[in-house]
Amino acid sequence: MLLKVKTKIANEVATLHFDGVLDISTVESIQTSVNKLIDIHEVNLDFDKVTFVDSTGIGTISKILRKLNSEGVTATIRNIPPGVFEVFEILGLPEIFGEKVFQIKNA
Amino acid sequence: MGNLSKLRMWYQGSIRRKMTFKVAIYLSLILLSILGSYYYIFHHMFKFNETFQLEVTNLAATAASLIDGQVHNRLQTHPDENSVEYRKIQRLLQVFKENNSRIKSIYTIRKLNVGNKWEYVVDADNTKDHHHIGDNYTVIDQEVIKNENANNAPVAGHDFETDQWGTFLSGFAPIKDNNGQTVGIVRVNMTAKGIIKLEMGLGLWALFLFAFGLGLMIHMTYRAIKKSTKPLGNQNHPEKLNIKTGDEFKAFGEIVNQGGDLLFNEKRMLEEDLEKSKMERDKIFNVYKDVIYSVTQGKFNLLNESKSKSISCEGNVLTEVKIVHPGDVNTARELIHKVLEQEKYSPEKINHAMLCISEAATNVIKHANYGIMQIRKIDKGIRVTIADEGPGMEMDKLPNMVFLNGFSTKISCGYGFGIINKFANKIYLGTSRNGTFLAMDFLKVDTL
Repeated sequence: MLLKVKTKIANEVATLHFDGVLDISTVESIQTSVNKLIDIHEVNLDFDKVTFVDSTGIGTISKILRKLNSEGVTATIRNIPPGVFEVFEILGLPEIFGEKVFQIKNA
Repeated sequence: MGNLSKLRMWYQGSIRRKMTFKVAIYLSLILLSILGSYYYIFHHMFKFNETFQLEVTNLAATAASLIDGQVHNRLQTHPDENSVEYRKIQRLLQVFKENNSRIKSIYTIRKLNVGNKWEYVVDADNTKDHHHIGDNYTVIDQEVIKNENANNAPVAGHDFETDQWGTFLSGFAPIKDNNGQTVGIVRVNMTAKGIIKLEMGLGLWALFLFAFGLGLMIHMTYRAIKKSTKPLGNQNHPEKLNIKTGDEFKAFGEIVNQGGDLLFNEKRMLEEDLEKSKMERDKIFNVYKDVIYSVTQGKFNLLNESKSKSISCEGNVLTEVKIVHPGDVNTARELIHKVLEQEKYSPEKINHAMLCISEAATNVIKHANYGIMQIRKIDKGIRVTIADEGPGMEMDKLPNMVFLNGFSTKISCGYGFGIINKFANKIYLGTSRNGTFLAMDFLKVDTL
C-alpha cells in the first residue's frame, strides 16, 4: 500500500497517523478511515510521514474538513512537511479553513 | 432455332415482360419445390399411421391367439373375477402388457346374445377403477367391431382417440374357441405419444418450409426489381439520368432524380454551414491561443493537431509508462523523480515536477481510460508528454482551468492545471474529440 493509516482514539479525540502519499490511489482509504470515526469531538490528522500530496489528495482533505466542521468536530492537520504544505497553500486551504487548522512540521 | 431466337426477342422486348417472365419462373420453381416437400412430408405421415395400425393389429392378434377361447367362454356361465379362469386370462394380459411398454390398456369384450349389446370380460388392469366383468361396453368404434365380426380377422381403429389418459390407437382381434367360433374380442389401446411428437415435428418442418419458401419468393422478387432499377442508382449527380422514352421507369427515374437534386442541395448547404462553423471554431481557437500565450508570457501554448506531432517527437525518449490504473500515477512520479535526479535537478524542482506529473496523470485516470506518458530528453532539459484518447477538453473552460487556482472558486475541475501552470517551464496543450495531448518542459535553469 502507498498509504498506511493508524488511528488512535483517547477521550473522544482521534489521531490519524498517515504514512505515505495522498493521491488518486489512496484518497479512498483516507475517506474510509475518517468515515469510521464515531462519537468523536476532535480529530487530528498527523502528516508527519506524508511524503507527497497532490490536488486530488488536497481535494479529499478539504472534503473531510468541511464534513467534520459541519458536524461540529474540531479538526486539525499537524506536522505538515514544508514541501507538502506548499501544495496546501497553492490551493488556498489555509485561506478557506483558517491558518490555525494547519500546523507545519518544525525543521 | 428460329423459334428460339423469336422467344429470345420476345423475352428481351421490354423490361416489364422480362421481369414478369423472370418472376413467373422463380415463383413456379419455388412453388414446385414446396409442393414436392409437402408431398414428401405428408406421405411419410400416412406411412407412419399405417405402420402404427399394423403394429397395434398384430399386438391384438397375438394376444387373442394366446387366450384359450374355451376358458374365456366359461366366464360367460361363471362371471366370477376370483375364478381360476378369470385369473388365468388376466395374468396373461398383464404379462403381455408388461412386455410392451406402449400398451396403455388391454382387455377382452364380448357381444351379448340379446340385442346389439357388448360387455367387458377380463381387464389386465386390476386397480380400483378397472372394468369389471359384465360391465356394459359402449361401442364407440361400432364400425370396426362390426367389420371385425363379419370377417373374423384382426383390425385397427381408423383414427386416434383421445381421453383423459392421452391419445391412443386401438387394435381389435377375435378370440376363437376350438371350433373356430368367435367368443370374444381383445382390445389393445396403444399410446400414440411418439407418433404425435413425430407428426408435430413434421408439421413444424412444413411450417418452416412454407416460411422459407415465402422468404425466398420475396427475396427473389426484390432482387429482380433491384437489379432492374440498378441503373438509376449509378447516376452521377448533379447530372440527370437518361432513360429511354417510353420506358416504364421514366416517371420513377424522374422522381428519383428530383429527390437526388434535393439531397444534393441539402448536402451542399450543410457543407457550407460546416465550413463556416469550422472557421468560427478556428477563429476562437486562435484567439484563445494568442490570449493564453501572452498572459502566460509565452509559457502556455495551445496546439493544433499538426503542431502536437512535432512537439511530441522532439528529443529522445528516456522512458515510457502507460497510465491506466490509479497506481500508475505513482509509477509515473517515481520515473520522473529518477530521471531528474540523474539529471541533477534540485530537490525542490524535482518535487514540483512530480507534482505536475501527478496532476497530469490523474487527469488521464479521471477523464480518459487510457494514456501514455513519455519522458523525453530535449536540448534545454526534460519534456514529459502525456497523450490520452479521452473526450477532450472544452475550449471555453480552458482559461478558468489554467488561471484560477484553489477551491475558493466554484470551478473545481482542472485545479491541477493551475499547479502545472505554476511549476512547469513550458506547457503545450492540444485537445480534440479524439483525445488530449499535453507536454510539460522542465528546464534545468529556470529561464524560458
